[in-house]
Amino acid sequence: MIPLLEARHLHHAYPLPRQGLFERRRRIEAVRDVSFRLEEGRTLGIVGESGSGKSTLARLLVALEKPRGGEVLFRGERISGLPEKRIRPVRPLMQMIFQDPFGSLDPRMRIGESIAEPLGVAEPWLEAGERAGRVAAMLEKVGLQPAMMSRYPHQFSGGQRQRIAIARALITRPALLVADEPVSALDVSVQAQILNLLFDLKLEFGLSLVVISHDLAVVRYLCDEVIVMEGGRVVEQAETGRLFAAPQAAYTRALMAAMPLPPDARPGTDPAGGDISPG
Amino acid sequence: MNPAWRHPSFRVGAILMGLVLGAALLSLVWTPYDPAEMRIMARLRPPSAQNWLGTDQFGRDIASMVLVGARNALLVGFVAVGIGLVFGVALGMLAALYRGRLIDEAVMRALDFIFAFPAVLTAILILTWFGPGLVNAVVAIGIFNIPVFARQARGATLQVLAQDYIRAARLAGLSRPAVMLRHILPNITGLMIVQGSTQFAFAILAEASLSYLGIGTQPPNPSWGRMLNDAQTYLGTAPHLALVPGLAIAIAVLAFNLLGDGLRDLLDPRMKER
Repeated sequence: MIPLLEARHLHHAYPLPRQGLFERRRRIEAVRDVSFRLEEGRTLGIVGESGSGKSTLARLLVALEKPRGGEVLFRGERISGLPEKRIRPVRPLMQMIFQDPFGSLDPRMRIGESIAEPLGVAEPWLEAGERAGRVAAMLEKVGLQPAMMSRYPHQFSGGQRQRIAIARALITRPALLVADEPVSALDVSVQAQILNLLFDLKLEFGLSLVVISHDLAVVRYLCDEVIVMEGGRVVEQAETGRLFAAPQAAYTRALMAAMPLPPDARPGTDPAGGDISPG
Repeated sequence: MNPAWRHPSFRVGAILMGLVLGAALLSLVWTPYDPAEMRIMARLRPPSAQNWLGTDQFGRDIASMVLVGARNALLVGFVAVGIGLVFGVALGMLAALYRGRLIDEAVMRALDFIFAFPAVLTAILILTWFGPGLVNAVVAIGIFNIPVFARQARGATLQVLAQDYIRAARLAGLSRPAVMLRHILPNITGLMIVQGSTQFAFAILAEASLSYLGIGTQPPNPSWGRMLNDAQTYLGTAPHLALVPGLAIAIAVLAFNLLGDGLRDLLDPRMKER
């Protein structure tokens, strides 16, 4: 079966500012040789510390940036390195939500308009009334009132904004949703609500998810499979259950050790043995 | 009460601008005398009941000339700022969009080149080349506004481009021009308005300088700068000739500078308390 999304030997690097006029331009390697397959309907977690290349990888996956090497395939077709025009037909099928709900909505646009924006491109034939109907239905799905569509982003809380961002991402009924740190900017009390919402919507829409997080608990809750990244490289890749039961890489064990849980609840440790310093 | 009105700079600036605007509008329908009418018998009169602000060396009514001069000043301001705004914002956004590429470097260095010349001095050069006159003066001032707006627009655009809502718009499938019009332009407009009001003040001052030098507005069209020029010969005997247009220029420049200050604060989203 053709996977929904496939990354093949992805490389990406950012140029650093030139040190001097005649110095060679140096680069910082953000993603090095990342490969994976995501089957339809599954959820992939990507974990790692900040600076491990997770967000760069996310942008490569949805073709917001062009990789310096390797390729991204969506339903078997290459989408990386193409001109924007060629990617546009696929755009409605792959969407993304961002970490900072305060930066992901245009402050000067009513949220109804923001949510409808992808529809305007994907289904330009819709009449204004139909479009408003779709937006209203989507707002209800994410737990907001349709009447809110004429408000501006600053009138909402962080959690509500993330719901709005999710509504915008799902309005075109995509097959793939990439969530880049979807809850890390939110209050702890709101995090669980948003995660539950994502989980429910994934089932309802038959979404495949890529969840990027530095929080292992988030990944454990949502994902079928996990990739652990360090310094742009994949250091471990396994089914969620297996990863948490028996982490292989030292880096994975270090990440788990840093989880804020009581020692005997930490994965990968043997409660009976009382081993509280794995790795 | 409107929060804008509570801002002291904005309030004073708005009042002063209302004064200038009112004078300009009034001059369209009524002036105490025909501003071009000379009455040699009544020359160099100090302020009186007949001539509120006195008369000049040809016996023209100064109050009437100042009123019509306001019209001139505002016209110059609007056109010069308009030229700078349209070309500057377009070029600045273009440069930001192609940041670090050849087109960015080419546009910004070309504008740096303009910026490197002292504005009024170069305007003098342009006017001696193309001939004196209001239209040429306004165009020259407008050209010097372009780099100012372009730099601001480039910086502001870069800031907006880094926001996630721009990424979201690209994911929505919007083309570059659509992203520019729908998301970037509305988000840099506030800054451009602020810069516009400051440049408005500069334009009025520049036109007055050029007219003072005799290469801006040509007689008999009244201009505050021209009035100052005429006044200097009589500075000892009739100081009000210089005082009145000088004060008018000061008020107009102050009005737009204060307005710019106020707008900068009021349009700052951090100041928003809704």
